[in-house]
Amino acid sequence: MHKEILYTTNMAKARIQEVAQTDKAGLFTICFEGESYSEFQKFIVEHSDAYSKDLNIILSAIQHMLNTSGMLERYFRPEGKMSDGVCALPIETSKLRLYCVRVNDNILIAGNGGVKNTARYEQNEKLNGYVISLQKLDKAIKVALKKGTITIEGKTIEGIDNKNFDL
Amino acid sequence: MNRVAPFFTEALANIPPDIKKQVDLSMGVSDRLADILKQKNMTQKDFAKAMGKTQAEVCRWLGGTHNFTFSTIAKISAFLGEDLITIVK
Repeated sequence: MHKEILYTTNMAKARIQEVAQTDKAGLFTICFEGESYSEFQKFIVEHSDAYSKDLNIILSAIQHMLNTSGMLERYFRPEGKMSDGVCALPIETSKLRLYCVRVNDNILIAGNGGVKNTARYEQNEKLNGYVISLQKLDKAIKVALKKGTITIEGKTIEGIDNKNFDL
Repeated sequence: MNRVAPFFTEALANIPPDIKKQVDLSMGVSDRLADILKQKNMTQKDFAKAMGKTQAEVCRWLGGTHNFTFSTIAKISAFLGEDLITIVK
């Protein structure tokens, strides 16, 4: 059974969906209201042809983290601001980037991503949009944790099935 | 895995075995290096300085997807006095 947490933003409603749960870590993603595919799913589908090798390296790395090491900080490159948990899962041989919120060493929320052909993600409208969405998500999670409306229990996010969050 | 969404199961099943093996190796080496540095109480900064490398390069080594050469693995192993990898005989 996959858990979902519903929250609202000024711009869009979205929910957090579970992707995978292991003894080592939990992987989640974000799905906007009215959309059939989650952001991580869209990332996979969009890059499975032209960037299949790079995508497979990213997926293999996530699989290793889920099965062996957890979502360790050193695997990710900080993006966004210093105050948020937004990061990228980069690979050296490619410009393909997956943007995420690393909640802690055991929980990762995968967003969307793409090919970073500019020096900074802000210079790419699509990538900038993905990072901004995750920054809003990170903020919403922190508020909800502080209020106690969601909790971190080990390797998973608990507490609010079918509940709306207003930003 | 305890619970996996179907789309992710399918995506993982489509990973070619050689890519999976490559990433398992690179992440394994990265994890082994991190463990040794922790055992020796050595920061990334100190390690980089001692190896004559930049911190950025050491970050790449520890990032998990770096494509190490045998030469680099040998230099790191010799410096730390610990094998990063072992060969099954």
